[in-house]
Parts: sequence; C-alpha cells; structure tokens
Amino acid sequence: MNKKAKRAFQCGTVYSWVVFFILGSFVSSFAQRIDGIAALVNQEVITVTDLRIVKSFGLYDSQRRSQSASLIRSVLEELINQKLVQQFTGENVEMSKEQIDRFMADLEVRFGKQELKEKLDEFGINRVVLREYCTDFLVYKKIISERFSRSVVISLRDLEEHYQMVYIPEQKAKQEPVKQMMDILPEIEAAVQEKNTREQADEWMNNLRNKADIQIRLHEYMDFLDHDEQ
Amino acid sequence: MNWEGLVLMSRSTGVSELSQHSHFSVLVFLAVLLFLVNPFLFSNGLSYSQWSISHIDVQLDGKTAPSEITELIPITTGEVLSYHKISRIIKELYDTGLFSDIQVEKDGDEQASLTFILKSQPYVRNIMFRGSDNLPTNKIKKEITVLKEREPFYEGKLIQANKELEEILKQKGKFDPIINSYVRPSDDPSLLDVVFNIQTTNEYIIRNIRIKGDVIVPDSRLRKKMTLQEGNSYIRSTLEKDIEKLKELFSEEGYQRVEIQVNEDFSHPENVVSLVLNIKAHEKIEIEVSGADVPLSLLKPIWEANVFLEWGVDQGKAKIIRYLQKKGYLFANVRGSVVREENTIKILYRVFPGEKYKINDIVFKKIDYFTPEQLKSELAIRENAPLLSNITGDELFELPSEIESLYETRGFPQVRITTNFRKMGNRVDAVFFIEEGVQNKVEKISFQGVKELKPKDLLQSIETSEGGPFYQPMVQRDVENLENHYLNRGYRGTEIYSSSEETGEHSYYVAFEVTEGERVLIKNIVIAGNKITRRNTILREVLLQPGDYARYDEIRATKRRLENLGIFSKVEIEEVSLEPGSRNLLINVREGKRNYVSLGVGLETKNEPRSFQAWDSIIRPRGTVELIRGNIFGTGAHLSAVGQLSLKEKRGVVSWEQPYLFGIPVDTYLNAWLERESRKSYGFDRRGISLSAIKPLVRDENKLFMMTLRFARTSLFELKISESEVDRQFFPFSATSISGSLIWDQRDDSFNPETGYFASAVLEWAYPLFHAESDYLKLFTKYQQFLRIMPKVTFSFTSRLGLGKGRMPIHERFFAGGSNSYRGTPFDELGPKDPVSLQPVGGKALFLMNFELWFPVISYLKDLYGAVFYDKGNLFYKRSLFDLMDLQDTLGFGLRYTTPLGPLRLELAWNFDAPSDKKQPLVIVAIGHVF
Repeated sequence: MNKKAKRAFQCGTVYSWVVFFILGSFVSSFAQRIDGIAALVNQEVITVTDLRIVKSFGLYDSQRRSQSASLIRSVLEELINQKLVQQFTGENVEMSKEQIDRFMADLEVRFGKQELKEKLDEFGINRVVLREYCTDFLVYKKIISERFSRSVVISLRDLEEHYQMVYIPEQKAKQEPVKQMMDILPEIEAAVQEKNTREQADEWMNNLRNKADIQIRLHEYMDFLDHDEQ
Repeated sequence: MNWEGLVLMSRSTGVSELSQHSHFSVLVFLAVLLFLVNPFLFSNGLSYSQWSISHIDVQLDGKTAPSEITELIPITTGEVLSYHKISRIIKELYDTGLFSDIQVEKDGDEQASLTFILKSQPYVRNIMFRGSDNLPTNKIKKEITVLKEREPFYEGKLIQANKELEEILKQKGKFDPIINSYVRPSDDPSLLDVVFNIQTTNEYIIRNIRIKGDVIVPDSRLRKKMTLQEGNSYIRSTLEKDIEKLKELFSEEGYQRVEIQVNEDFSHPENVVSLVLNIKAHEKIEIEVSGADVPLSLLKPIWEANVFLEWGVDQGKAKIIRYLQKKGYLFANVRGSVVREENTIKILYRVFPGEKYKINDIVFKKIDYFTPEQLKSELAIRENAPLLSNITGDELFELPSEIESLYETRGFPQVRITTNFRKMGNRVDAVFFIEEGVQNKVEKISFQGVKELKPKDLLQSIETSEGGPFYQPMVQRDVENLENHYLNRGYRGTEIYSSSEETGEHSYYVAFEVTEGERVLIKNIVIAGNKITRRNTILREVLLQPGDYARYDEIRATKRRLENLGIFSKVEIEEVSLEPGSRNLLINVREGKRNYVSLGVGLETKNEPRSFQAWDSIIRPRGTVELIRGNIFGTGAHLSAVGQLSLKEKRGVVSWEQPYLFGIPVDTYLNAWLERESRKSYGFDRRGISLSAIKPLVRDENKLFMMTLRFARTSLFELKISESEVDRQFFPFSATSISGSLIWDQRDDSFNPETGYFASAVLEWAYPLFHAESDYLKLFTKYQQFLRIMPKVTFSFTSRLGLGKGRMPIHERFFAGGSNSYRGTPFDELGPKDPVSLQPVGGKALFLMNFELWFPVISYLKDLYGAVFYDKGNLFYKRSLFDLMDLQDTLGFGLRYTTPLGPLRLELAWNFDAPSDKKQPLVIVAIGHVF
C-alpha cells in the first residue's frame, strides 16, 4: 500500500470511530427498561430494583450460591426464599432494635461511609428504607436458624467425615498445617452444624417452593442487569 | 542536483507531509476526546440516582392507556424520581389486581421520559375440555379449585390445575391421564380461554377384592354392603364411599375406631387392579346405660376418635345429665366407670334420674343493680305462659354462668351466684341468690394525643363512659370503636392504645393514647373491570366524590350498593396511595352472568278434597318458565319474561326492572301481562300494564313504600252469577288505578317465620281515565304476629280487613275461603252466594282472623310439627252489612312438614257455622303458611 493509500486508510478508520462514538452515544441514550417485575412469589412482587439493592448491599447468603447460576440469579433465588419464609411464618418473628443496629453498623464498616452513601444515593433510598431490607434479611436468617439449628443432631461420624473430607483437603490446598481433630473440634462442630442446618433448610425450602406459585421474569431485564454489573 | 530545487521540493513535500500529518493528528485527538467525553455527555443513566420527569407515557396492552388507568400512576411531570420510588409504584400498581405485568422504560438522564408498559390482568372466560366425550365436564369444572371462570388467571395456576385435574380423573376411575393444557387468547386482551386436552386415560377393571385383618364382620356381609364388586370398573370415589359404609357396619358392632386402609395393585398390560382392604378394628367400645332411658346415639360419637378414657367418660356423663335435665329430671346424677376386657372397653353409666319436675318460676334474690324483670329481659327469659314452662332444665343450669358473665360486663367482677330450689309437688322454683359485690366504675376517661378530633365526639363513639361500669374487654372493644371512628372520618394509619389504672377503691382511670394518622382525600375515582356496565351506572352508587375525605363507612356502603345492583359477581374497592394525604379510589368490578333461565314444575291446590271421598282433581300440576336478561344496556336494568301454565290458569308477564326512576334511587318495575284464570264463579281474561316504584322508608329497615299505576282490561268469559252492569260476560271492563302500599316486615324468616311481625296496608283508587269505567276505592290491611312461646313452639295471629266502595266488578271484589284464608269453607266460598247458581259473588267488606299454634310431635323428626288453629271471619256483600257479630268460626288441627319454601300442610277443619248438610270436616292439603 502506498503512502497515500495508507493515509487514506488511517483517516477513514478514525472517521469511522468518531462516527461510531457519536452514534453510539445516541444509541446508549435510547429508552431502556430499568425496572419491572423480576419475580412473583404467590402474587407478591420482587422488582428489579429490590434485586439490585439486595445484591449491592450483600443482603444474601453467599454460601448458598449455586456454581452454575449467575450471581444475580442466585440473589433472586435467595430473595424468593426470603419471601416464601416470610409468607409462611407471617408477622410472628421480630428482631430486636439492637441487632438491626449492629448489622447496619457492620455494613458501614464493610463498605465505608462514603461508599455506603453512594450506594444509598444510587437507588434513591435512605437508611430507613435500607433498614427495612436488612430487617427482612435478618428475620429470614433467624427463622432458618431457629427452626433447624436446634433440631440438628451431630454425630461423631459427621465430625470425622467433615474432618477427613473437608478440613484436611482444605488445609492441604492452602498449604497450611493440619491440626488434630480434638484441637479444632468446636470449629468442626460449627461447620457441620451449619452444613446440616443448611441441608434441612434447603429441603424445607424445596417443599415450600413446590407448593408455591413462583414466576420468574428476570430474563427480560438481563441486558440492563448485565450493564449494571459492569 | 540543484540544492535549492531540492530544498524547495523537500520544503513543499514537507509542507504537504506536515499538513497531512496534522490533519491525521487532529482526527486522532478528536477521537480520543470523544472517547473520553462520551460517558459524560451521553450517559446511560446508571450513574444518576434521581431524575426529573419530563414526560410520562402509559401504555396498556400495546396502546395508549385510558385516562382512568393513567390516573393510577401517582407521578407528574417535573417530579424527581428514583429507582426506589419506581419500585414502590410498580408494587402498588400490581396490588390493584388490574395488571399482570408492569415494566418501566426510561429515556434520558437528568431529564428523563418515563414509559409505563402495562399488561391487563387476564381473566378466565371459559374452561374447556377436549378429548373427553364421556366425562362429566361440568362437574369436573366445579371440582377444580385453583382455576375458575371469571376469576383472574395466573400462569402458575395452570400447573396446579393440571395436578388437580389428574387427581379428579383418578377419583372418577380414569387413570394415567395425559393432559395438555394451554391458554387461548381472545379479542379482548383481558379475557382468555383455558383448554385442557385430555388425550388418554386408562380404566381399570377390578380383578379381585381381598379383605384382610380384623374381619370381625363376616366377609360376605362386608362385600354385600359395597357398591364396587369384582369385575366392575374401578372408581376411587365409589371405593371411598364404600369404605365409609364398611366403617358404619363396624361401628354398629361397637368398633367405632376401625381403620381401613386400601392397597391398590395395578397391572398395566391387562388394565386390571387388585384391591386389598386392610382392616384394623381396634378395641370394641360397649356403652351401657342403666337407670334411665338414654339413647346411645348421644354417646357413641364421643368414642369415634381415639380419646382419653377419663375424658370420654366425663363427656358422656355431662351429655346424659344435660339430656335428662332437658326432660325435667333436674337433679339427675350419673356415675361412670370403665371396664377393660379382652379387646373390649366397656363404658358403664349408672344413672340416678330422681324426680321429674316442671320449672314453675325463676326467682332472683338480693339483687340491687337490676330489677328481676330487667334481669330476665337481659337473660332472654320469657314470662311463663299458663301450663307452660319458659325455660328447659338444661338452660336452667346454664343460667348461673350467664348471670355471672352479665354482671362482669356491668363491672361486677366478684359476683357470686348460689342456686336453690323450692319444690312444690312436681313443680319447682329456681331461686338464684346473687351476691353482686362491689361495682368497678370508670372515674375518668382521657384521650391523649388527640389534635384533629374533638374528645367529646370520641367519647360518644365508645361504650365505656365516665361513671359507668369498668370492664376491661369493653375497653379493648372501644379501641376498635375509636379506630373505626377515625377511619370513618377519613384518617388512615391511626394507632390507639388503651391503659387502665385503679385510682381508688373500685374506681378506674381509662386512658386512650392516640397517634393520629393522616387525613386522606380522594383524588380520583377509578373504575375498572366494567365491560358492559356504564360508568354512570356505577358512579351513581358511589357515595364519595373526588375531593371528599376517604370516609370508610361511605366506602363500605358504596360496596354494598354496588353489590345490591345484582349485576356484579364481585366488587372490590381499594385505596391506592398517591402523595401524602391523597388516594385514588379504585373500584374493581367483575360482571356476573346476564342470562338466566329457570324451569319449574309444581302443584297447586286451590280446591280442597272432600273428606272421606275420592279426591277429584284437587291437585293440579303447574309449569313455570322464566327468562331473565340482566344489566340491559349496562344500566343495571333487568328484563324478564315469566310464563305459567296450569289446568285452571295461564299467565304471561314481561317485566322491566331498574334501580332508578328519573335519576332517583327507587326500584322501579314496569310490567305487562296477559292472563286467563278460572275461578269458582267466573273466569276471566285480563291484560294490563303497571308501573310500580318501591322505596325503603327508613335506611336499613324492612319498611317499604310502594306506589303502583295500573291499567287493566278484563273480560269475563264465564260468569256463573247473575249479570249486572259491572258483572257481565264478554264485555271488557277497563280499570285505571293508583295504589299506595306500606309494608313493614320484621319476621325472622319469610317462609318459616317463628318470631317478629308483618304489617301491610294497601289503598287503591280506581278512577275513570282513558275511557276506563273503573270508579272505586279499595283498602286492604293485614297484620301478622309470630311468638315463640317455648323452644320450637310458635303461636301466630293474623288479622285481615278489606273495605271497598264504588263500582267494583266481580274480579275486583274481595273473596275468601280455602287453605290460605279461611279454612272452614272451600276456596272462595266464604260470604254471599248468588241466589240462583249458589256460586260466591264476593263482597266489599272482609274481616278475617287466624290463630295458630304449632309444636314438635316426634323429637327425632325435627321438621314435623303438629298444629291447632282457629279461624274467624266473614265476607260481606256491602260495607253496610259488615257486622262483627256475624262472623263464622272454624276449628281444626293438622300436621305440617317444614320445607325451605314453607310448610307442607295436611289439615282437618270444622266450620261450626256451616249449613247442616256440610258439617263434615274439610281436608286441606297445601304448601306455605295460611297467611
């Protein structure tokens, strides 16, 4: 390619990019679906904004996240579980003001004052509204914990299995020393308790889900939510 | 080489190269600048948390939404919105029940245009079944509970409906069904049809039925009791009924706790099923009662469930004592014991009934707060009728706890009641000694936090009063009363707590802490769901206007008025929040069916059977057909056509009914009719038209005023009395009249009244108008009183007075006689007769009285009653002949069986004033009361 042609090619390319950016700007300012019904749980609405708030402030159990599902889908499933449990138990479970205050304070520590304020501004909510979301999350956790943790029985076999199948491999993967089981018995017990509670809770949740009318409409907002994640 | 040239050449080349280079650099700079500036200039909006609304667009089902839908969205242009606010609006819109989906689009950044994309909530128009020729589809449709016609449709319901349908089909013997269901939209986006395609089902034949376990009742007897047999098609619902029958068999043998489990073994290629019934009988329960005649059916139900033995025995004792007390064995005593034998539990009751007594009187002693009469009135104890007791034995023994409760509500927490009995032969007075104790009183009531309303008004809305009795549950009720008071004045979110404090000896200070909510105005009234009904038809029932406060009592009354129109299957009224202090009232209606057809076949008895002789056509069949079309033109009006046909009469009536008359809320009826009827002494053809208006006189009471304008033309085709100027055959008699009626109906039941009264008065003035001959004045009054003098014993009295004046043809005169007026004569035969034909001629003066007493005859036939009656009255040809000393008397008795449409009566009546050749009693068969 001679110089002239080369120049022409370069100019053409730049012109194209300029036009692209200008047009792209207009495209990006066209109407966009920003909110709607992400899911219905026995005719109770979970909006896209609810989903975004819960995800943004981490008001979900990250340990339950399914490996195959996207984060937003996992958060939605958690929200659906929350709603089902709320509907099942009615208004009978309360949280103390101190517990909620403590949780809100932990949030502030986790995100920092500035970031927390930015997050609140992003959705146009204040601390009072955030407190409602936090309360729903904490009540849900409390119900699960109270309903199942007491009824969970841990056998020696469970402890040994967890020690052999989970603790030792984890320690080796982290290249950390493997302690004796008796030395870390409380930690093992807590981990097994949590795992068994979660399994029982999952079974209960599945039962609730089977009886419920759940409609998921998340797919209609994936473009917007993908953009949000970026 | 020329250096200058070279220099020149190179310079020119350099300039050219320089300019091209610069040009390219500028473009690159621009591109980079745009790249950097782009996110700031043309943002996608995510970085902005709030926007000012420049434009709002609302779309419903792809089209611009009507204004009443747009009004539901509580935002205006210029307002600042955030994601959270939009989320709240979406939830509120969904809660209205009008939409199945709501999406919001935003266009722009700081100044944004918002579009609400709404989809109507679909309703199920029809539920249809395909591929199911021999299935009872109408019945199946009713058995499906999650999906109903005219109800909202949700996607999740379809799966549940499929599961339900599968179970229903199995119950009907159609196993392994393959069901495909889908929805079929209609032209109206808010209506859709649901179709269930039932592709295949399998029926199974019962190969064998084996009965195992505790086969205490012989196998053959069990099988005989069952409907399902080997070789039949297997239908689960039939088997369930058979299981109940088998349980009854076991129960009869004393095995009330029997359990029967069914195992099904399906064999698929052959489509047969083997059934095994596993019977577990448990213990046999034998109940023995000695010392009194007590039906075991009273005690057996206690042992059907697996109850604690001691509890069951005590329950049995209480039931026996109550049973005996009711019969008059006031001081009965029972001892119960349990004996366990091998696989048998014997419950033994030893009864000591004591003497039988009649309760003579109930006496209260040492009372101050009430007088004895007041106390009896509060406890609903009637005064004794002669020879009759006003209370049964079991009710007597419940009185102490009722008296205690009554006193507690009056502020006497320490009341003590002692019961003594004063025996006088076989009669007994029950004497209640009441130690009232000290009354707790309310010294002061205060309302804290009340700013908007007057405490004086709040005081009037509660039951507790200063100086009045203190009763904590009443104070609690008053919290609700106050909440309602605020709601009825348009306040929402008011919270009220009560507290009570003892201020001195038996005096209390009651405080109500009020956190007043906000007073809410109605901004708009939004109507949805009306496809046919006009908006005005609905709006005229609404008692609130935009700008009014949201008074809750008016909202409830509006709902009642809309329901009373009779054109809606459902009416819901909701308040949709807008800005603080303002709400939209959303009236969501579901229109009901509009077409009704009814067919009836019945019997009429106008003539009476002659006693001891063969009946001659006393009971005639009658057919009725009725067609109704409701909500004509969406105005709430109804059009009906009724036809009646029997051997003696034919009638056709067309009616137009509407709830308003020239905008005034008056039920109005326009009737046109043709009829032909044969009576005792004449037969007539009549055609006519009438306009009636009915208005309740007092709100919520059964007091009505009715006015009727009537034009009728009557021709007699058969006249069995002497002809006269007004009584003539084939020559029509026209009448125009106006009548006014007053009706008071305070009966507890229109068809089978036991208490209350009914009164009516009708004054009709017929005047010569439009070439009509009519010129008479007619008055008819009726009064009925019903008294329950004892449980299940009712006394009733009716009086009727009819007076007429002027030119009254035979068909307008009064007639009496027969099963529904005066039972001492055949139908229409009371009063004057034609001297030649001896047929009744009717009269212008009528007076009748009927007295009746009816009572139960057999305790286990609850709907069968005996009756005794006394009828007195007469019909006079002219008012001047009216004479209270010239009344006929009839006495009679009979049986009646209560039906939902009134009693079926079989009676014998003796007329003491009948001519000597007609002294034998008349037999009356009729349905409905005599009145």
